[in-house]
Amino acid sequence: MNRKAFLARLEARLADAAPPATAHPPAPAPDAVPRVRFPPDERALEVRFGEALTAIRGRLVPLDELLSALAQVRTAVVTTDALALPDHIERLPLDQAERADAGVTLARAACAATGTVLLAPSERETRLASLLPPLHVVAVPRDVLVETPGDVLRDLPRFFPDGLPSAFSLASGPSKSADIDAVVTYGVHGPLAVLAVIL
Amino acid sequence: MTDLVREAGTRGAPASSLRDRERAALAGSGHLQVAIRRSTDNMDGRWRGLRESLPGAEELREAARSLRSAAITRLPELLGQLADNVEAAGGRVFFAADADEATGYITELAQRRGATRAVKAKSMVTEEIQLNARLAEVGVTAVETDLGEWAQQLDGEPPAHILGPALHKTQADWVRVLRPEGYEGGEDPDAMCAFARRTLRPRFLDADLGITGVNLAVASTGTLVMVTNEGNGRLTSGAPPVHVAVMGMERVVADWPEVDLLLALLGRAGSGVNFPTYVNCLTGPRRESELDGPEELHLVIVDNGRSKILGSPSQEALNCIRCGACLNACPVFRQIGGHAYGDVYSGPIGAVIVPLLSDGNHELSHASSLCGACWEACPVKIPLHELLLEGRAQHAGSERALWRAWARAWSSPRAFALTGAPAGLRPPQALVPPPFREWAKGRTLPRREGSTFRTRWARGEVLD
Repeated sequence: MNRKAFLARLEARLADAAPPATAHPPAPAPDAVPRVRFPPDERALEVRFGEALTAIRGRLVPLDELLSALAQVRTAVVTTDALALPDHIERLPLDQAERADAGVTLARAACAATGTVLLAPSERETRLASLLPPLHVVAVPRDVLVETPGDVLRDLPRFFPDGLPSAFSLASGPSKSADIDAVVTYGVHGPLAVLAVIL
Repeated sequence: MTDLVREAGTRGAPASSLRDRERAALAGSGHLQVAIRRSTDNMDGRWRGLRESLPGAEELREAARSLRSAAITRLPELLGQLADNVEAAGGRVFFAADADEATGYITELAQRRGATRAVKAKSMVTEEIQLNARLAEVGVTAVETDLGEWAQQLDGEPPAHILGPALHKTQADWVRVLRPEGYEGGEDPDAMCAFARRTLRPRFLDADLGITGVNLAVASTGTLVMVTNEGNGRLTSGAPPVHVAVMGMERVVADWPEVDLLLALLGRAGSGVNFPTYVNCLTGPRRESELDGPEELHLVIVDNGRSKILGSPSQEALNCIRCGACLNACPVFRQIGGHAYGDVYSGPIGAVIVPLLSDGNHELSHASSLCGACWEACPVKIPLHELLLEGRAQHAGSERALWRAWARAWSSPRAFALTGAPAGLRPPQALVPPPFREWAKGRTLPRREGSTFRTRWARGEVLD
């Protein structure tokens, strides 16, 4: 069906709408979409970000502990210069993410209430670098910390001044599933572990 | 699983009756009920807890209801805007009136690309249009990549729940299903999860087509928002050279603030988390300056009966964000499971929309006790119990005649007095007349205390 006919059918249905089958129809839409609030918390954004990330099985690592945290990592795909990686880690070309131990990328934003990071491809960053390797190491510049995912979703031009990229993701902790007998398992498709470093 | 239950998931009026499928679901060892109850208790309990801890949860749900309703009344305008913006970002848009048009477009695309391998990320609408079967006809093998959905596909069963496709499977069932794929471990969820990762990873990287659903489509920017906890949505849309996104036409929202609100509710009501693990937002295919991503992005917008719901008294059913909370809360679903509904959509929302979408399977509106637990659980507060009642009224038939007779009887003092008499008799189960026998099963009829009001009135005892 072409677009015109498809939409015309909908127009016709709406023009001839029956009264709703409910005694309590919805109120008119509010002028502004209400914000999703989290319980108030006075602590610093980075403290709360670390706590929220830990709650969803991620880890916030102090910069001076990065070396020991990455001791087991032999190979990595790296899309950012923001983090100085230990010398023993071999840097693989970006199209080799599938065989890398870790993907090291930059967060465009990070949400304190949920431990969420904003990831997006660019001239340097692939979609798959943060997704294929078993470990995702994400560098979070202090000035991109915000309160909630709503602060990102309602303010996208701040994070993407040149317009939206073809793909961006809000990622909260490692890949997770509860499909096997309601037992939570990690890393079924994406990273098994997520490690964040605040810069 | 019996054949009666297995045949579920095919579209249109199923060959078996709802009663037969219910009996089949209830006939087993009781394991099905235990498994479903454990999963649904878990999900329902978490959503209840989050509802209480989320500041202003009631106002947020009411606002979400109003905003969804407003978007549905603006569907033609918003879909037009969405299509313009997807095309402006380099994507292609196809409007499909029904399942044949949608699958026809996708199979033609597959043939043009010479595709033989497809990966899919969980999408109810592609189940609805039976896309996998159509793809198989043109030589394309489609692999489901959601862990639960993959197990269901390997087992030849449709999904049993919107968010937990395999929630009725025990760990022993999982071992049985994975064994032929090469799994050698035991009943160990972590080992099975690792096996799935090893087995499915090459499928993503070798696929010619990635096919996904869409949770929300943002008209203002032409962005498709897709939610997964496993990351298979990001892989399916990001790794293969062609991405096909299939959406029911009602998924559209006007702008990003609605996305914020609806994702907060979807994550909490569906998975019991403050925010879904992966929210993937796609605006067109890969740009020239980007290093990876699909060369082509196709958005297929599906009507397939939805326009029959639009403008009907049950229009609000189109507000559904497919979180599964009403399934978890429903006493009927918890007893019979998803397959007994005989369609891809089960639970209260399925019982409302299936008869409307397909103009068949009307008896589904009776798969409910009208208790309203679904309405209470719904994050966008769809009055599902009222819509179920509306569904029954539309196809009442003999039931309508029965209630009419009852209404007439109780409007006449003499007939009313007559119906009062047998109520004191407490007949043994065997003597309960057939239409009421099912209902009377397992119940003890109450004993009448003393005489009826009418008798006491006649004796002058009431105004003493």
